[in-house]
Amino acid sequence: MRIALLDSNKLKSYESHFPHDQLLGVKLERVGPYEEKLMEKEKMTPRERVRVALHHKEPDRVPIDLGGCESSIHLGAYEHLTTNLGLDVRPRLYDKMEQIVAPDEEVLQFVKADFRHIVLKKGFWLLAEDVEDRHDDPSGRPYFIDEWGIKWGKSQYYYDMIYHPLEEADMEDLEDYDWPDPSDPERYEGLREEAKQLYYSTDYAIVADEIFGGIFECAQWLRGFEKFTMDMYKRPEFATALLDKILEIYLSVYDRYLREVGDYIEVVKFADDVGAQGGPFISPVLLRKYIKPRWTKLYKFIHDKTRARLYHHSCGSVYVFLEDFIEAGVDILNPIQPRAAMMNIENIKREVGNRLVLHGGIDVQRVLPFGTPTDVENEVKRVLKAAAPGGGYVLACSHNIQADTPPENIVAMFKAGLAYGNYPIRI
Amino acid sequence: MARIVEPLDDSILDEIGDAVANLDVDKVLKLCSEGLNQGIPANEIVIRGLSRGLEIVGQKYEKGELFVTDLILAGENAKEAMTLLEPHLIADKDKPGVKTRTKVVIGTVQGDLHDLGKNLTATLLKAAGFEVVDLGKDVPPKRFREEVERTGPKILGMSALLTTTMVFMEDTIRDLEKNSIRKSVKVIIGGAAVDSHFAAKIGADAAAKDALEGVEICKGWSQ
Repeated sequence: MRIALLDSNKLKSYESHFPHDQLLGVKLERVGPYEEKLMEKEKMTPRERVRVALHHKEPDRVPIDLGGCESSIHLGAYEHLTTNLGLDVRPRLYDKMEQIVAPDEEVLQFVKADFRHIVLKKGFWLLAEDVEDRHDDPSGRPYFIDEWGIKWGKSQYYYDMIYHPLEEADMEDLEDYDWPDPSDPERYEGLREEAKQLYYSTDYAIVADEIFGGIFECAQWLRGFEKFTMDMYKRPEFATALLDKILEIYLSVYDRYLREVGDYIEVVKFADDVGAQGGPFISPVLLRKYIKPRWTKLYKFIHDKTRARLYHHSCGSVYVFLEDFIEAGVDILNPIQPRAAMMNIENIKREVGNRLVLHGGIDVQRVLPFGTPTDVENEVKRVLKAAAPGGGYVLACSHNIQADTPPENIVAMFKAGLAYGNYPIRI
Repeated sequence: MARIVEPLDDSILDEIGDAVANLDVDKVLKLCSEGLNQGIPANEIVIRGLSRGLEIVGQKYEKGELFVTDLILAGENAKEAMTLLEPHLIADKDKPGVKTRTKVVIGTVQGDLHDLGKNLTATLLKAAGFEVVDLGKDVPPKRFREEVERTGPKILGMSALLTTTMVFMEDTIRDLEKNSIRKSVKVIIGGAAVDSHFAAKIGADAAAKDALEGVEICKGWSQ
């Protein structure tokens, strides 16, 4: 089963039918066999549905996302799921570090996912096929080294950092370091064609996935978390120089990336974790001094390049930063992790739901791995009831579905999303 | 006639506590040196100075006034102070009246390399007067058990971030039981995904929601 293609005559005028600016005035009753089939049960196409929801209005039903770097499925759970669904697919790794897959089209259609994800052709760590494991670490642990020089050792389910290349660096070392090359043409080869093809030959909303960890994350990973924290307190010049170098690379990558795909996407993603389970792990003082100004610069740059909505991922407890996200230019916040402190989605919806689209929210720490399908259904109902009314919500798990998640729970989540996600929400 | 001993002026201990709470490392170090020069025993400086200061840090963290980066700073400051105090603690060890430090074996469980919480806990435990044996990360059940057998700690602390590695906490406890040493040690677990229900389920004595609560629980056990 592959994506049905639209009639070629219609393709030519397709783009002009759906300009972002006239989104809400768009006529939904389009003609053509593909659209008719799609509209048998659902009134909107996925792209329309997403556009409406991202504009804080109610579409026909809540859009569903599966895929990308933090709303996807761990390889282990995916193999289990596809076997149980009787699908003959060969899982493709999407992110080697997290060991998550790019869900196959069959699975995406099964869960009625409204988004399709694209990403740099040669990422800084993505596309696992690019990077082979090495086996010469004294610990015996298989590992790989990414383009930044960070060493990732294999654990049971993921790869974790085992070496921070700039841990002992000083200012001079920053100058001399072998930084990744943003202009490497391999990163962007075929991206435009892929985005264009998806845009014109399908009705899905296209997402440009993030390029690597965030600005803050990258600094921590290069330096080590404790070390970079102490840099911000004790070595502000070094912290500033490191963050600026990372920002310079990111600006350059997004420049090229969005030149290729900016016209075709609905969402452009960036991820920078600032929350832990019990509270933010960076103090607001440090965030506002070092991180937020750089997010603001990057997001302004991105907004100038595309009409797509800016999606920011930070798991953990980030309640105290909601206004900072908005001020920095974030449109969509993921993943609203329900078991993290102060992340009650009902409160967040009430306080910022008209300014931030909420994406995620379904508990992956307890309910999905350890609950029953009924628990999962209740979890989806809880989140939909709180976050879906008025639009501005995308159903997704509150991080990648973990390796130990039973397939029946995954199916229950998406089934409940379709069963209870129709507008107006009646739960 | 009994000799009247002038009680030691230990008001500097309060000042040390306040300097720790204010994250002012220079002042902490200066006051610790002064305290030692005044003849205040190192373990008093640790328990009534550093540890009390860290309690205030913990209260501020609980109230949402401080954050993980602040805890790291507080921990690093405490570590610097401990470098200064440690030789004195060792020298004082066998002196009469000096309480033996409670030993804690701590580590991040097998399959898990996320050791930030564990490191912070180890630092804060040391600054609270505990003797800490840190086994590092990715520690298999057997290694925990062997260390408990070898060093006979009062407390075993295990940390895991991931739902997928939490199971090794249970394996470790089973291994302790199998070797009849479970009752010799209190077991505390910590990490984002663990809670008291999970602790009860696997037979641990307590679950800590963060490093600070973990230290408080251990303090309760060491009395």
